[in-house]
Amino acid sequence: MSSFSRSAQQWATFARSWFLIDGRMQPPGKIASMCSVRLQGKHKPIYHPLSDIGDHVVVMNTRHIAFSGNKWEQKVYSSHTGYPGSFKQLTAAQMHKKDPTVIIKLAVYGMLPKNLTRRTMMQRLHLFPDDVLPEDILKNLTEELPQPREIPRKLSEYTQEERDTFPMLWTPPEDYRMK
Amino acid sequence: MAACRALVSRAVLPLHYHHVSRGVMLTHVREKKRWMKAYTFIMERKRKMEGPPPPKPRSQFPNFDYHAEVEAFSARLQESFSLDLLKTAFVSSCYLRSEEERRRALGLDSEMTALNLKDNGELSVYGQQFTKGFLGDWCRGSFHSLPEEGVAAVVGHLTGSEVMCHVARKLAVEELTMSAEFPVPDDTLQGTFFAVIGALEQSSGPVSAGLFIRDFLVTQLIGKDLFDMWRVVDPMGLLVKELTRKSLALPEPRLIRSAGASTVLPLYFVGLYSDRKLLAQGPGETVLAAEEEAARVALRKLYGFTEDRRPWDFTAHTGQLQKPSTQALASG
Amino acid sequence: MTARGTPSRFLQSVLHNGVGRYVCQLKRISLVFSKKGQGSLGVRDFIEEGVVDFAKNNPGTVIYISPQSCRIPKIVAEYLNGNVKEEMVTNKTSQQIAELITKMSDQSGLDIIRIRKPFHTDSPSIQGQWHPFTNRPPSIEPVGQQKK
Repeated sequence: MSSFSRSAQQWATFARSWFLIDGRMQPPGKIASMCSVRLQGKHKPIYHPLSDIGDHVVVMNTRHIAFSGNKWEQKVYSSHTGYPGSFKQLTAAQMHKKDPTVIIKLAVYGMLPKNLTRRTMMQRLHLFPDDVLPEDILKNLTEELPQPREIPRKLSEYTQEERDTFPMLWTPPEDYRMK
Repeated sequence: MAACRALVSRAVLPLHYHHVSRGVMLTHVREKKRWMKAYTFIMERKRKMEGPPPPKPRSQFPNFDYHAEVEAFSARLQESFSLDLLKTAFVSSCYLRSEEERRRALGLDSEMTALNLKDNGELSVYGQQFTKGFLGDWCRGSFHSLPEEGVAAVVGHLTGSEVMCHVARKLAVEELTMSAEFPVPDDTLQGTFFAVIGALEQSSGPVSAGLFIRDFLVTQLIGKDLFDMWRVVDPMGLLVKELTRKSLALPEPRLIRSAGASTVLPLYFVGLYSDRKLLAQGPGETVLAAEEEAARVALRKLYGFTEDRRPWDFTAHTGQLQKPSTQALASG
Repeated sequence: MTARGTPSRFLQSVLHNGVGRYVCQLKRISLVFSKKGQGSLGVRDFIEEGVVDFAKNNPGTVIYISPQSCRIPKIVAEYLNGNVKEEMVTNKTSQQIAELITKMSDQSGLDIIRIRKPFHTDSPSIQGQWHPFTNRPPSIEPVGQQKK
């Protein structure tokens, strides 16, 4: 229980937190939905659609995000400026090569409510392609959010012991040809 | 004014000069009152320039019987006042002075029309002493560890002119007060309210006067913060003093959380540790402000004035109040 | 007018009335009526039948009876917080007037306007009001540093 003075209590209640999300090997949609909730402030018990109480979100390692399926090739980002002949279509891989932050950015932008506060909330989203963050952003951070997906380990990351003790589901017959 | 009078007379005279002596409003003519527009216009402008008329006391309006009102005052508060004392309590010294002057100015014989009224000076002093003593005892009883300066601050807040006048106005003391000027000035009203408490103490004893103070003054503490009433400039120094008095380890401030430190809206939480135990934590815009706030929170916890304290029991009756009131009597 | 445009207030009472003791907030009531008028018949009946009982039951309220030549009889109620309410009682029966006066003496005298919330508390939270660090485990290391 706290008994803060009123001004201090209000300052604490309405302060903006800074969240850090590590995007390494994570699906962009999951990252974006986490970001969208926090940018709108919907995780707070004091949430109200008319009050501007969104938090800041920093996403690092956006270069190392992971799409499932064959989305890198099949997912298409289209744009049209309105001028004739300006219809452009880029696959996710092409977009990612052009700008490693843009996939997360577009995913979050699409998940925010379509109103005048959308651009303001987007300004509170900070995207970094690698895990190098500037000093002033590092100072602001409050909490690192857990990653939505557990990163699967590569075969090369397993030691020989672990490989040997891995449970075998069936014993291959003598004449089984391993690929 | 001269201009308006001139305009009125110019508007009125040519129409019916034989009626001028009877005044503007008394002219009986059956045609359209063409002077009316100019007249209302001028009167409206005059009202606008002069502003609203000064407020008049309720006693100068119809339907006001002083004796009945005083009796109702006593019955309304569910107290048994002695009416003479109560009436004396409402007479302020400035009223007596102005009334005597008024009679002298009217040329009345001072002996024939002597005012046999007493002013409330003595009652007021008595009531003030009783109130302060009672509130002090009450504070010490409710907050055992509050130091004397804190008790004095709380009592000073409750007996201060702001709270007293607020309560007195809402209990219709103001319209019963006999004062030289109206609206009744704050210090007169405060003195009158003290005198009412003094009159109650003298007519029905310290217990019911104590209950009266508890019901009408102590309730004003509801929703109040300790440091709203008690200005402490250096809470950390006070906390150090309190902890040394209790022979505990001195507080050690630590920054425990922060958000947005390099922005213009930073938030810091400072925790005060004494002997590796968290005493209190406080938020603030800067680290210094957070440290001060944490010290205030620690003080509130020490003094038992936190937000989640047990609410005061206003139902407890005579038995519990007997002790502090007798103490108050002895001290006052 | 919309609900947001109308005047409104929060739930409150005068001087925390009822916390310590209950004080009847009606301090004065004046019955203005005509001695002859047809519309004042009910008021005259009430004065004959009920007003003494009411005065006995409510010693904290001063009652003034003022007969005047008026077409519209009315009841003027003055409250402790300074508000004055006038109610027209033309052609009302004695019983209706008694009910009206009882209602007036039960009221607090605060303006009858929209009340924003049907509840009020002076201590908003026993657990303490929420802030971003409520129920959040303390972090030992600075966030984001270990990644560098």
